[in-house]
Amino acid sequence: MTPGDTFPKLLLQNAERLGDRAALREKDLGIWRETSWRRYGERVRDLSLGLAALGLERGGKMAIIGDNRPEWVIAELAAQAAGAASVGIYQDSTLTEVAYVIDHCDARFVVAEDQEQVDKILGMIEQLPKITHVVYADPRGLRRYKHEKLISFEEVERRGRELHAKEPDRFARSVGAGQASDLAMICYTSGTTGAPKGAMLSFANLLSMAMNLHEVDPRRPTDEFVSFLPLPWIGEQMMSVATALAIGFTINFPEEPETALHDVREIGPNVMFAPPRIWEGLNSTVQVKIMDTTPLKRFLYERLMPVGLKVADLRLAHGEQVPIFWRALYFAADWLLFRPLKDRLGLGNLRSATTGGAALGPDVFRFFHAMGVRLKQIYGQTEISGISCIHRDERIKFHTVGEPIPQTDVKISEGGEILSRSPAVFHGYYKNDEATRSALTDGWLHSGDAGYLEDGQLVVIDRLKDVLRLADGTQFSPQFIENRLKFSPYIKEAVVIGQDQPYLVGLVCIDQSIVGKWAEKEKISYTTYTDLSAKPRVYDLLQREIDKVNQTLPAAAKIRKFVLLYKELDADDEELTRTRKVRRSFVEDRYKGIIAALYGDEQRIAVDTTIRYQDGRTARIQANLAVREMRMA
Amino acid sequence: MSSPLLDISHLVLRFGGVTALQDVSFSVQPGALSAIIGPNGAGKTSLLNCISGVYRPQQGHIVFDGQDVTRLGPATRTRRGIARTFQNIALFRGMTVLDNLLIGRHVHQRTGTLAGGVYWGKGQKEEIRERERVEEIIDFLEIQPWRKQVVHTLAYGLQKRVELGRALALDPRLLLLDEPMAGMNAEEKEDMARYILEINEERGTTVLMIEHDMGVVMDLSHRVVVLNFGQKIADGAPEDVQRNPEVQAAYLGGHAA
Repeated sequence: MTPGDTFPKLLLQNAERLGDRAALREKDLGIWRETSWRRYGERVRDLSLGLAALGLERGGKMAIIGDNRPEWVIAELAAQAAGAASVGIYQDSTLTEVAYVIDHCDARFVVAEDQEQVDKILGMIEQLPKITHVVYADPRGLRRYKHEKLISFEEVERRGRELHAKEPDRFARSVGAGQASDLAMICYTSGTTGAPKGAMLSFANLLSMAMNLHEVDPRRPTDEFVSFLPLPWIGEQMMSVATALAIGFTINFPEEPETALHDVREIGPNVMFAPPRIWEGLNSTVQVKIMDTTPLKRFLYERLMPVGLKVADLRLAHGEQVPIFWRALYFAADWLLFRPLKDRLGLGNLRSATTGGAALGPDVFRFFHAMGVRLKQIYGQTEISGISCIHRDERIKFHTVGEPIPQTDVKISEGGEILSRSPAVFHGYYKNDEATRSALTDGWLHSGDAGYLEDGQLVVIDRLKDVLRLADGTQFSPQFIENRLKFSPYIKEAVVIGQDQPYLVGLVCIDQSIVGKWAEKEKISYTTYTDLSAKPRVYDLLQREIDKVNQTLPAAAKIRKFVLLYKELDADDEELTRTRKVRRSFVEDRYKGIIAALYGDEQRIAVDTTIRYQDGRTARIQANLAVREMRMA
Repeated sequence: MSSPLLDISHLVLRFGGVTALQDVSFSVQPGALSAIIGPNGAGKTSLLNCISGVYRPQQGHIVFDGQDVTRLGPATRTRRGIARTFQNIALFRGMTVLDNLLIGRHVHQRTGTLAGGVYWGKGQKEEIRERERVEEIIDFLEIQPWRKQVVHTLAYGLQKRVELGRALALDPRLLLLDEPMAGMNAEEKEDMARYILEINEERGTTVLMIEHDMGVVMDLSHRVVVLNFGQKIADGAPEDVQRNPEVQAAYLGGHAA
């Protein structure tokens, strides 16, 4: 049997092949309740026929909004089995956005999970003239609603069952009529500017992505996966729908969004894909709990964690060749600390752990590798079905996003933009040819990201529009370098400057609490922030930190000189926004004297300025800043 | 009109020389959502305590579901179907949410000490059944994330929700709520209002509540009883009560214009 080339075909095959094995599991009333592959198939059949009876046509669209529940994916597959495409809508979008997407995608059907979502849709039904039916899954609180367009999931399923009894082969025919090139879903991406754009993805796109990812990061039919990230997100579609159907593993839905991490522990998933904030959250949970735990446990953690980190570093540097001494120590650490710890977090069975969507700090990466969780980075866009690159187990470098998956080419354009090409590249934006033209040229997808290749691994720098150029044309991303710098605990803020200049320089603000503690330990006495920042040994410390970052940067884009500022950047001085983002032009203007000196030959810069305290008082600061030049390799 | 679920006639309650309730009469129809309002010290909680059986009135009668319950103790009334929450949360602070709710089910358990002490058989079946019932309440009140947390570690608004849950676990026909929204923020109040409405509309439970938030009272209740200095001064639909000059005087002080 050749594997099905659409999701509904795969579902029917799985229902046949895997029968009573669990396809979906949901925690309801405190108990994990299973839906077998067979039952999954039946529910999709009933709903799909019911929707068709209500007028859902081949080529139509159906919007879905709600929490991660079995009904979400059942609705998606039901729409696809009827030949329609699904459009997932983020629950936390603004009402304007929700209305825009539903209207723009030309959906006539909306599946809304519960009263909250139904209220949202009915509240703006006047602006949604194309909508003919609002299907709700959870009847709670909706008993008194008497809207003509409202119909329950159950009722649609019932109508579908009736239709199935009358025409037993209708469903199979409908599924059989589906083709790989059919539109499976439209994924709306909320651009930072302008209206959301709907990326059209076919079954062929999504399934080629699933199989290519599977080849380099294998999944097994016995795997467990917990679906707790929004289903409209391509990353969640990748796992909970495309890969789950292609491989046939089990998807678990948490009881409530708030219980997700607890439910992860109960399930002990084998595969986990999450954005950095989840991994960072797990990391800080551990750090906080360790501070509160018994002295014995804290003692073990403090002694054994370094062993894990050391072994992780050795493994990452030399592959598996870890000296026997360290292996023995790690064996002990594993049983005493890492296994219990992983069990507490629900990561004990984890085989494939990936992060994607944004950059993750190297310390968090190392933390998980020390525990034996081989966390890998994924890179991709919605427009390429979610993924183009992933770390390979044996070649994980924290500053890269890994290597292209099979059938995928990645290259850097002359303008420094990352381009990718694969069978998973989308068909264009729905009703937006202009955007499609600027995103696709000769089959190459423009990512809008700047990056470079390093030994076959892709390094992502920044959004292309945020990339600046040195006088000789070398590109650099201030934000990229600043973020790297800020991964150091000693650095609170950093501003990297170099637009139209011969080299890069940095204005660095130390983190007073951490550098202060370090100074105490080193028996360096100091009075104020300004004083601490001026200590030569603090300069030495920061130079080492910057050196570490410099080693990961290309030769032309290393930081050549830096100063430690005499004060922290502050929102009250308008140097930061209220969300603590650096206001670059303002800072460059304010410190233009210092910056000019950094590009001159001076060793010291005299500063005479006034600062404003929170209460409005001002004070004069006179300082003599040292300029430190980095040693270049 | 069908016969009232709760009928209170000529209730008098005195503490020494203080008269807390003076000749109070009113009735509550089955399925109604009624509110008792009044200034501080008007006797609202005393009235609720008389209904739930904590206080014994010196005169008057309380008839619940056609039977005079005036002389019955609180436990007996609970078994007949009267449940309540308290103004100041009265949960078992050191126990989990789940255990607090299971205790609410205690009145419905039939297994004896012996049978309950054995793991298998009747006791186990009953335990599973009660747990299912409690899980439905947990689902209804959306407190799944805190199921196994000890009650005193929870935020105040959540504790109030748990207390409501415990009252629901009794499967009451009449639910008495003593200031269910006190001390809550706007969002918590909105949630609580939604739960009270659903309890009343979807489960058909009769609700009698004391509440100070006039917006809530006017929006939710079908009928409002106003007490002042132990006397009933008004009784009727929310709009009518709002317009009643005597009520305005009681709330604003002095004489109504």
